[in-house]
Amino acid sequence: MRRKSFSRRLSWRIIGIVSIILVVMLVVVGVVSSRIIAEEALRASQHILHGTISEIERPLGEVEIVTRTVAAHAVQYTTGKKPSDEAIQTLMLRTVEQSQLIDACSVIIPGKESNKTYYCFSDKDGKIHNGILDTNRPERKWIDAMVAGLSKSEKPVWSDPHRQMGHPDSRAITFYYPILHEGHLVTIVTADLSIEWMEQKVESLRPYKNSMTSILCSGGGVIGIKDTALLEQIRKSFAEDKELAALGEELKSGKDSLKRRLGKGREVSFVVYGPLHNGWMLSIVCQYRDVLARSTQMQANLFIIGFLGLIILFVLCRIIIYRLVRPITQLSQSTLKMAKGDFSAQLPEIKSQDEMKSLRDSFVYMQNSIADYIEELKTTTAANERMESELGVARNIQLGMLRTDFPPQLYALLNPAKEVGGDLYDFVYKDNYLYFAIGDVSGKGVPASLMMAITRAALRFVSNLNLPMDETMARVNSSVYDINSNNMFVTLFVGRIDLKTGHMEFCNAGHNPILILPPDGKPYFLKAKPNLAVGLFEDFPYQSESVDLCAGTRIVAYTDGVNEAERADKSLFGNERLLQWAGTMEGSMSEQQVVESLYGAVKTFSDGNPQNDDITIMSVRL
Amino acid sequence: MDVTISNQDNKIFVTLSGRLDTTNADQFQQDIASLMECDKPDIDIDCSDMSYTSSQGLRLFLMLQKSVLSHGGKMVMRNMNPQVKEVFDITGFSNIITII
Repeated sequence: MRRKSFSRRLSWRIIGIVSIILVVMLVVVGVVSSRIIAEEALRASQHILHGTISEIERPLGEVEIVTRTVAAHAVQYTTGKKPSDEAIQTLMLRTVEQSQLIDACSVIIPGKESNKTYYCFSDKDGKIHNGILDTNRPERKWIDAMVAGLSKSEKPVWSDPHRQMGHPDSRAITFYYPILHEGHLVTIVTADLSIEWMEQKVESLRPYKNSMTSILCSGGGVIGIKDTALLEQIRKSFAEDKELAALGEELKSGKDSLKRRLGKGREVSFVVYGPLHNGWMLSIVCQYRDVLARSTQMQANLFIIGFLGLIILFVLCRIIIYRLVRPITQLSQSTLKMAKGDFSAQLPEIKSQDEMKSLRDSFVYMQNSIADYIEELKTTTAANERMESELGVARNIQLGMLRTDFPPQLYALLNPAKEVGGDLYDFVYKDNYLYFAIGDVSGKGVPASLMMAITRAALRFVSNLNLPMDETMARVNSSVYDINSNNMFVTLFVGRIDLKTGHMEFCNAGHNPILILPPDGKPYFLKAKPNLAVGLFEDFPYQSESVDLCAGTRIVAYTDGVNEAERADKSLFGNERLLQWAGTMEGSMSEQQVVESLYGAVKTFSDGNPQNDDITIMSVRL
Repeated sequence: MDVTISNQDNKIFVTLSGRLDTTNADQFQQDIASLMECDKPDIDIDCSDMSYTSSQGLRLFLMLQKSVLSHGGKMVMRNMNPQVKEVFDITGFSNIITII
């Protein structure tokens, strides 16, 4: 598996956390700022609305005043004894000429059969037309309807926009001022106001890109939207959309509510509206999308800046963390080198006085300690190796002391627990006598092996003297005692067999009783007088004894490595097993087979448990 | 190998339990070192819980015995189990150590 770099992992985590914080921040800022901006936009729109309303109302008010003044004069001529056409026309001419606002005016005198209409207007070239309207002019119908309406309401009214007289390309609105006399409608004075300026104003009033400003007139006409297709569309949507329809009703009814929220999703808009004094309604529709466009743009920019910032942060994090952990990487490389045995591996230099420094110092300390330790170990190992090789030589020397030129009727085996041991055996054929000995020095290893060598030398020397066994033992004891300053001792069995008669004289100095395997009978341990082991008391009175053995008898001598062989459960091989084993021996077996059989039995018993004492086995057959 | 040594009425009581073998012979030697410095000691060793002794153990008992004798004291070992007793008998140690 590829190891992940620490700096990268940490960098990713930092980036993750910073990203979350950044996103939350941007979202919160976005939401809050959108709300504030929307509120500000609403307030600004309302402000604009009110300003516009008063701007539009001013000329309307002027026209109304002029019309009232004209009406005040006109009524004299119309309600007098005899109306003077000339006077009325002069009044109208003066009005159109002098008023900058009024482009046309008329005086209508309702009659029983027909309505008499005086008119005066200036055309697009500035030429003034003056006269009485023909009865067959198409406008008559319209005038008739107006007269009928006003005779009911008896209140001045502004008409919806219509084509301007004498100005085919522009529209105008008309102010109708009814004059009542004794409860009857006697005269109507009208004044036309060109609304080009009003249309321009309304159209140009676009606080936001897709804003739409319009004036809804009392008769259902609209100022501000020239595009008839769009107008139709809006009318249609007003009819279909309940919400818009309700708004339309509100606008018509002139209720003094100033804002509304319309639409769904991205098309959400707000509307601010307010009534003009003549009952018209000015409204401004703004789409939130436009209102928030700059804020949205700003948020997008912030996101981009944030993203770029994150990339820079990531790179910087990686560089900084990489620099910070570089000592660790180098330390780990050095450690690996050390693990491979190179204790001179250079550790990185660290100048900062921080944890890295102390880690590095610890490593240096460890490096030195291990190097010293290894050096020490090498020395010790070399010493051990030297000692081992010396022990190997000692072992060869010790084994060389033991006779291995066995005659057919005798075999012996000696296996020390360590390189060298304290067991010994020996045998000599002399004048039809077999002298044999088996012994065991207390303890093991080098001290025991030295004692063994001394005992073996003493034994060899004494056995040449043809002494009785007790005397032999006493002399060996004396020799060993002389050099035994360490209170060690040797258990020793010595025997001399007359090969002609089978008479065996023996002396047992504290050694395990030897096994006698008669050719026709049960094996048994040869009982002996309890003489003290050799080397302890200079003049211990050793006692020998004798036994007669028939031909074919087998003598098996051994050391306590046999009967005290241990298994893992600490149980010992023991004398019972020894006797049992002896029972399985057959006369036809060679002495080597017997010895190896017992050794095998001991090994089988100890079942891999390490041998903790020297093992010696000797078998002799008469 | 557990060794407890206690003094009572000028007598030293030693109680041994467990196996005395190669692995703990050195420890045992240290345990009994103090006994070898007493003048005219009277030592009573209870071996009832001692299950085994190696030849190294024997050597230490012998050293102790010799030391006791040279300091004009006396030492007895008691309650040996038969296996341990047999080792003492075979090696002839029964002849020089008082075993009761």
